[in-house]
Amino acid sequence: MKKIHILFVCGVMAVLVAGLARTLLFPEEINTYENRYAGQIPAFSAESYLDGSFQDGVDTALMDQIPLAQTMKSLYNRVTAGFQKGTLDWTGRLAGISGDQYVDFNGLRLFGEGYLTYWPRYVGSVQAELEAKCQSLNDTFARHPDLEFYAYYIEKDTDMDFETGGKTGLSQYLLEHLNLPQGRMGVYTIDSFQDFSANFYKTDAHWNHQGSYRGYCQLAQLLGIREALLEPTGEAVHLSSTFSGKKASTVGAEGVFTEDFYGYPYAFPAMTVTIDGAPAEDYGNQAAYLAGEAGEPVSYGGYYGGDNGETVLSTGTQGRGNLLVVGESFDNAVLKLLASHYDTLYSVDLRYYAHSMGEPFDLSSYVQEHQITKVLLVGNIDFYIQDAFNLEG
Amino acid sequence: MVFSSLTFLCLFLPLAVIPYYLCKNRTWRNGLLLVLSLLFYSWGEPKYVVMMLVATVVAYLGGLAMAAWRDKPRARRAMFVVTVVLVVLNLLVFKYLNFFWDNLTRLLPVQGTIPEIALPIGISFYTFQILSYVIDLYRGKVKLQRNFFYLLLYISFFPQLIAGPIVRYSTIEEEILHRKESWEDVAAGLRRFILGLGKKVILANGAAAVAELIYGGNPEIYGTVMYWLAAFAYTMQIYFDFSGYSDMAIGLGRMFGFHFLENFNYPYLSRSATEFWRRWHISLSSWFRDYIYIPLGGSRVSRGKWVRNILVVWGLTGFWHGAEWNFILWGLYYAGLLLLEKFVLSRVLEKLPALVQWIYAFFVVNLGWVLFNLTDFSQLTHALHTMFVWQGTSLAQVISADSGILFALLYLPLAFLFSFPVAKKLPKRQTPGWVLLEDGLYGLLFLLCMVCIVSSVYNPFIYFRF
Repeated sequence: MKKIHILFVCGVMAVLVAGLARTLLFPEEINTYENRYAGQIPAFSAESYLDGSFQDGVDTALMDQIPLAQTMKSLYNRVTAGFQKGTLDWTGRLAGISGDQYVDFNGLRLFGEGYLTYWPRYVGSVQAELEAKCQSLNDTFARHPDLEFYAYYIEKDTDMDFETGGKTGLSQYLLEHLNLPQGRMGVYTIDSFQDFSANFYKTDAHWNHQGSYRGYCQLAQLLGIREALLEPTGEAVHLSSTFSGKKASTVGAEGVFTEDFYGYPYAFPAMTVTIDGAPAEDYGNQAAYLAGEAGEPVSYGGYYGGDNGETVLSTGTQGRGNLLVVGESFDNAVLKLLASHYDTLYSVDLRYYAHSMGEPFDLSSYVQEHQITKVLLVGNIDFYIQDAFNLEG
Repeated sequence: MVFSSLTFLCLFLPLAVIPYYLCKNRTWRNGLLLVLSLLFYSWGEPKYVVMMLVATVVAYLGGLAMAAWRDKPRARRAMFVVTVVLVVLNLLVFKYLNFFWDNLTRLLPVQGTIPEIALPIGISFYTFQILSYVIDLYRGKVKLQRNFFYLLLYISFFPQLIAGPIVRYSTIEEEILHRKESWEDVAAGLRRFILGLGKKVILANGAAAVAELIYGGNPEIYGTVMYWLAAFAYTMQIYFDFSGYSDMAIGLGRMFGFHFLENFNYPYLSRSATEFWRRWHISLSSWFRDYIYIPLGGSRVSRGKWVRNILVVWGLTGFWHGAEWNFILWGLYYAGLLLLEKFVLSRVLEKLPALVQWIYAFFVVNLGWVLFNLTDFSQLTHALHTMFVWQGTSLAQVISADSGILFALLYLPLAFLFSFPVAKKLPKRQTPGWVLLEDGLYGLLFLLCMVCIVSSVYNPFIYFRF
């Protein structure tokens, strides 16, 4: 009997010691499941101990570092979210919940046929951020009279309450407060849930193949592109029926909420690609996915291209000009389409530029160096309220 | 640091158990436990650890003085009173001063402010432990502890320091120096710890999700049924939270060779409020019985004084739980119930079927927890009003407000089931195969707890790219 007791105690202690050993000796840098840096044991100091920050840091590090932490979390989330969704399906029917009613699901809201949606964000709730951003952009416009700036705002679920049909007014605010000629500002408008559901994913934050193509056409018109636009060379290709996007991940329901993923085939002109200063074979992997050769599950970033500090797409032509696109992940789906109409398209994501390129972004020297005359600002609400996207200052 | 944190489980526990059993000397083992206990407390309260040390010094010096003046009763008594007053004053200042001042400024035309004092963790528990030592020493029930560090070990011993049980000095007096540890004790302690951990992280946290969702949500959408459901959920939450913590404390104590007394005995089996308090937080109710109620005369006094004694003890019991009026109200609620049962209800209840008695007791206990839980009086009155004046609930609105309730509800039947001694009904054999099976099940429960703890924080960052 004593041997059994020893076995039991040592077994449990071994699990605990393994957690400690991994955290102290072999910590992971990245928490891939939660898509962020993993917590590390902080440096000890009397000050950090007295204010409790050291203790908090240790707890955070252990949460991320103990063996199988991410597997455990993933398993737990899938089970709980799966049960929640399964129960919701039949209790929702029982309770008479219809698709035109929001249902809170771990912080996001379900609407329609399984669309995970964000809460609307009204002007009042982000007034200060909007004012600061408009001021910052207007200052930039004034400082660079030689540049043609274009601003494109993408409405999505944050811009409309689908239950009431009311709009938040953000796009209107920007149109009224940005010091640009009307012809250089555009809005990707969402006026109904039908609009939204046709153009956005159910489980991901981004626009889908139809939505992004619509965006490309509007952007081309805004930028005054006169040559013929690219058109899909065929029907949309069904690439996956189990696509589970970032919204599903946010609510811990990756793999629980799934949907179809389609991609349009395009005949892109040949272009050279440079990502964060290094040559790359392609931006995104559309051709491989369409040919069924990608070898990994489809994702928005994997298919269209990810968020990089700097992406340069060059068609090798002369005389069509260079375009600078300053944006965020929404532009990933349209970069190659837009690049087809320029000698070179430079795309900058200000959240990552300094980290990737080793120096902060400087608009003046950048446009001078790359002979850029047109600057396109493109993004959704986050782009127009977050400091991380500040072009200057 | 709480027992259900990874810091305790992965850092503190192995660093306590392994070196402890590598030391062979009793003095070294006690020294290690003392250092670890102070580290444990300072982890959460780095500044207030000094205050606990000062309170212990007061008790230690008071004890020495009482022993030195054993032939001078008046001086001894004066020393006893001074020690008790100092220890209680410490509690009053740090736990109740803001409460008294706030109420004073509301009642009287008094101006001014006093600094907001943060409540030191575990102060109510360690104060009562210090008092039990001082009072029992004065009464001659325990011997003087001449070694300051052993007295400090008794007061600061990490398993019971933060949330009890309130261990009397007499319970572990002998074990401080003369305990015997064995693998059987360590394994039994570890099992008990895992059981407590499971109660806390699975059942209590699961039930808490329902209670928090309803009490924290929009009150307009929750009707009578939902408020009763919230009361029931909180009833389960507080039992599994507190008894789970006690189980972990008792188990940890046993892992180091200490045998604490039980703190809970299936309180929701009770058939009256009186019985409930014989089964709930036993170390606290017996503390009040031995150090307040009986010295006041207990029940062997006139009816009027007896009523007074009940009101005093239960008013203090409520106030001990927190510096808010609702806790006093909760204590007095039980005083009223106990008096009612003693004078009227017990004779009626005795004649009723056991099930009806149980329903009565469960009902009043649930109601009591509503008083206990809701410190905001407007919320409390709204909850009570909704519970007793029928208001319908739209299931669609409830689900729409937060569909998370659908998963959280799953825990309530489980919690209800395990609030009864179902595990005790299972067969139990002392064969190696059976013990191995039981250990395997405890191991699985432990892993499940780890999954729940790790998964309690989910913080994805959707913009980060790799």
